[in-house]
Amino acid sequence: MSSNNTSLAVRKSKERTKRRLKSILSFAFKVALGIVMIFPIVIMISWSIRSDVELVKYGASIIPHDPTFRFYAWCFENLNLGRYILNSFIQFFIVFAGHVITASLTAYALVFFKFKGAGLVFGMVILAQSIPGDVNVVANYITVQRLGLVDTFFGLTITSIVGGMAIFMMRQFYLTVPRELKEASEIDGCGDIRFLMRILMPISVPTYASLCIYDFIGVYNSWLWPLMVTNDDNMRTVQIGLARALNGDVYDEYGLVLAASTVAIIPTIIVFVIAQEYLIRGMVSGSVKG
Amino acid sequence: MSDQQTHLAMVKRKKKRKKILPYIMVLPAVVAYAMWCYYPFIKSIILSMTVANARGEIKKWVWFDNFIRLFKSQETWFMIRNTFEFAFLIGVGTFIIAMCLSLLSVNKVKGSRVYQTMYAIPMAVSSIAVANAFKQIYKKEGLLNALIGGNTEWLLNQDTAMGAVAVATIWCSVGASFLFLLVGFRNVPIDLLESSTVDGAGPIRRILSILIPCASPQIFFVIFLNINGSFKNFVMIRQLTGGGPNNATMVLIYDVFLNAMNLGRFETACAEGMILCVIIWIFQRIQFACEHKFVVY
Amino acid sequence: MKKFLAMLLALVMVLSLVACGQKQPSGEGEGEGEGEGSAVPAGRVEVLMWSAAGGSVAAEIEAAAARFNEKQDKYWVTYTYQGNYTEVYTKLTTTINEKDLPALGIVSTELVGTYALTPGLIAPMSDYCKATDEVWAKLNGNLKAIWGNNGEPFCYPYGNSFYGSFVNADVFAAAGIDPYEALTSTKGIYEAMKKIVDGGYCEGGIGLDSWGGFVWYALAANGIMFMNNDNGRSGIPTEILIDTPEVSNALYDYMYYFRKMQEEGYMMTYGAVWGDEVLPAFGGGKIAVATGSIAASTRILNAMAEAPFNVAWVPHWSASDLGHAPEGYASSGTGFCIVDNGNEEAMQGAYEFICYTSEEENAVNLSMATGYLPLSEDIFLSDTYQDYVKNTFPAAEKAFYLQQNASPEAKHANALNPINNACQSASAELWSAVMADPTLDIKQAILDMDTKLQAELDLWLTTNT
Repeated sequence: MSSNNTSLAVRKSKERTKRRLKSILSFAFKVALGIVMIFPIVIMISWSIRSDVELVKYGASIIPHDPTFRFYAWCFENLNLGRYILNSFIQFFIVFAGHVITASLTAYALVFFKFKGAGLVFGMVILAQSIPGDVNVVANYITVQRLGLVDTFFGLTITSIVGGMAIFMMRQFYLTVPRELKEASEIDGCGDIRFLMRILMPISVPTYASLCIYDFIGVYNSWLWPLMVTNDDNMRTVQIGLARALNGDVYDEYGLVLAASTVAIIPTIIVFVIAQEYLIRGMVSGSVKG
Repeated sequence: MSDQQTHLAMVKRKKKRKKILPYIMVLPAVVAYAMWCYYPFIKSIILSMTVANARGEIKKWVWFDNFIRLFKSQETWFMIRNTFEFAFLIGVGTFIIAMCLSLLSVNKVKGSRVYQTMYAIPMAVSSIAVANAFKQIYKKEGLLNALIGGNTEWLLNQDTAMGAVAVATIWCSVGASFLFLLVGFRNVPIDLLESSTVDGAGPIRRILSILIPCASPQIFFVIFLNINGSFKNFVMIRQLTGGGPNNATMVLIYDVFLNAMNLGRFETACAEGMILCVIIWIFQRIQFACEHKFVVY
Repeated sequence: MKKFLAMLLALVMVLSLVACGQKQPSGEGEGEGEGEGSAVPAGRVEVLMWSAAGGSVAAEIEAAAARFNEKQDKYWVTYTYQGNYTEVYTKLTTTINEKDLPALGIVSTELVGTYALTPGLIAPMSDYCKATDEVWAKLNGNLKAIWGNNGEPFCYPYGNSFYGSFVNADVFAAAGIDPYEALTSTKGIYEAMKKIVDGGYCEGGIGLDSWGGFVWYALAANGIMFMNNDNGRSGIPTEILIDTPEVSNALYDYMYYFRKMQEEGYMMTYGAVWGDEVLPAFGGGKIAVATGSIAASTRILNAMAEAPFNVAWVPHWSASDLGHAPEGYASSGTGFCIVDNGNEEAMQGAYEFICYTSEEENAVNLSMATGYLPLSEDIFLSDTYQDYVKNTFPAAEKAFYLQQNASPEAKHANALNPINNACQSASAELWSAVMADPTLDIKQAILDMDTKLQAELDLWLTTNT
């Protein structure tokens, strides 16, 4: 009997080491994939401390031999980076708030109410998604000028305050909410608006988190509309602010362009790394059905 | 009697309020869409049938001449073909890679936070900024050639340019899709997964029968996102090849942009925009028709 | 966790409502460049400038603006960056409120024609000065040709840029070729590169800056016109002349020899990124010639800092070997223009700032910052600039005198070309197609380009006349 026990123990420990080995290998593989994914960012940083002479002498290599930080110095001296990043974040907050409000309202109406025109409204939302935005830029710019909203945050965000993707996302989520929930609340005497604010919105927080990410990318990357609508340098957002270093003169050094780019992405990466775990945790609701 | 009447009146009022409530709730969205989306859109439709100046003022009505001119030119068909090719590459590519990465990261083990963050980080980086890094990878003495040998100028060769730009675009878009899919998969109730393991289901079976159906709304959303985005994405094309060696990477949306912003030819831009709009709309219709079949709510 | 997110959400919404109502006041900001964003002092007329210049050029213009603001107390020049040259043009044409328009703009030579033929956009300088006034009269002949309209002052340059090629003088000397004689036509370049590479004097031949505008400069250098308004010197064009034998043969030569050079290995792959690939190759001595505007001199000199060699600078070649245009080399570059925004005082201030930049001290600084050649001979002969020539870039001297005698009759490639952007992208496409596809029929491709550009011109005429 005891020999049986020991062989069982040995087998178990063998299995345990096999499992541990497997998990270490799998972890290493996933991290290696991760390194491949962030490789372009590594290159960006590596090239931003590289001067022209370096390129001539050493050609392409991952780590520069004579790093120089003068491009970063130039950026901090000449570009209003702090202001640009702040403006981008403010633009993001406004657009996100607008999306949360309008998308929740619209999707709520579409999913929980039967009314004539529901199909039309939804069709309108989806059709709008297929319209390429560049055709509308000039027409919208002229409208914004007529409203006197040039160089204001309102003008910067007004065209994106209602977002088709946001409405679509909220609709997808609301479709998974059981109808009984609403019916039960009605029996309890809860009004429609009350239901939305007290019950529906709180459980939508995970979806809002997804929306937050989606909006952040969209707003941060936008450059055409901010370029048109802002004339004053203090209202510029990151991409346009960078453009001055990026477009300047074809004969300016490459390192400059990359240093400006790196500085622009550093705050977002920091925010992202910190917030990402919270967002994912928040997005996983935990109690879906029942 | 009067009590009953007042009660009835109150119920009627409530019912009326209930009836108009949804209309009020969708009002902001409808107004915003009308102003910022449909008004310019109708203007573009009109513009596409005229010859207009840089400010969008109409000079002459030409009805469908713009479209005829576009369709007659060999270049337009080439562009349409490129558009489909590019959209397919980045739509399918992003989706598949995001799927693989999210399925790899489903289990929350120690350290999963590390590679999870690494997979999602490209999302936080602006595409214009990172385009320069890609140029370093793709040039003749660049890092890709250093890795796999050979002398190809990836962005200057007609055969490889589209693939190279597609890879760069996929890199930028994987992050968001990955994150959404991951959330969808993590939302699957753990007890379902555990009970299936007990029942002896292997990982593939688990993926196909449980993870995917349970996360199907999220997957549907990600596919929609990708279809939408892949026809309209031109940032990398603009930064890396500017339309490509001999128009090899010229797609419809980029030409719309060039015509509108560089050449001031709004009627051509709008006409091409219309063509693109019709293409995207067809794909969306197909996708929505499939919604009932594949998505489980 | 959820509560935390919900609170965060509420905070975000409150913050955004607050931010929505505010406009960022100008005059704030840490670490900004000189002059940009500073509040306009009371009592001064604001001269708003929309610029497309970036990098070190922008810094120099801002410095000049700051000096101007200090020197007098009537005007205040505010510098803002508004995108690249095309984006600035788009913004200028689509802004409908006059109060949002600037008084001073920056324009490149390629777009002068487009600006001149867009009604109501620019106030010509002839409204403020005569052609005989010193500020205009002192300019080099070819500058007057490109920056004037019908002989009258229109816009004003801040330097004299000059397209051409940087040449490794040591390699050419060893091969016994005089670059100024040899590199005058595309055929000449081919023969020189063949001799150098085959003779083992250098690893590679020539590296190109693959910009579409070079095609038109090459034609202009031959004195060949491709538009029927005397290439921009008399009235509005109505016909593209590319299908005429003179033009199409010259273009054919141009494309043919470049294709030959690439096939036979005397040229870096067309389309290579200039800053990334051509420049290091030239600086490292791996290629003998690198095309580029004279503005690139600083960069070139930096790149070869480790192992310097003698650098010469040769003006732009002509498309065919028919010889050079008798009127001399065309100028290029960037300059200022006065935008018509209805505010008379601001426009006057813009004019005075422009005159200020042409004064010796500023002109020299601008020249050295941009790498452009000086506007006139006395600026060239000033101490600061001579210092630069002798100690930094001796080739500038020969370059300056080569184009100094260009007459105001110089038939510039882009003087009054309203569809310039279309021309440049068409020529870039043609060049790219010829280089990428060895089987392409060049003659047919040239004729196709004529059809395409003629259609563009017709569209423009319908819209604007």
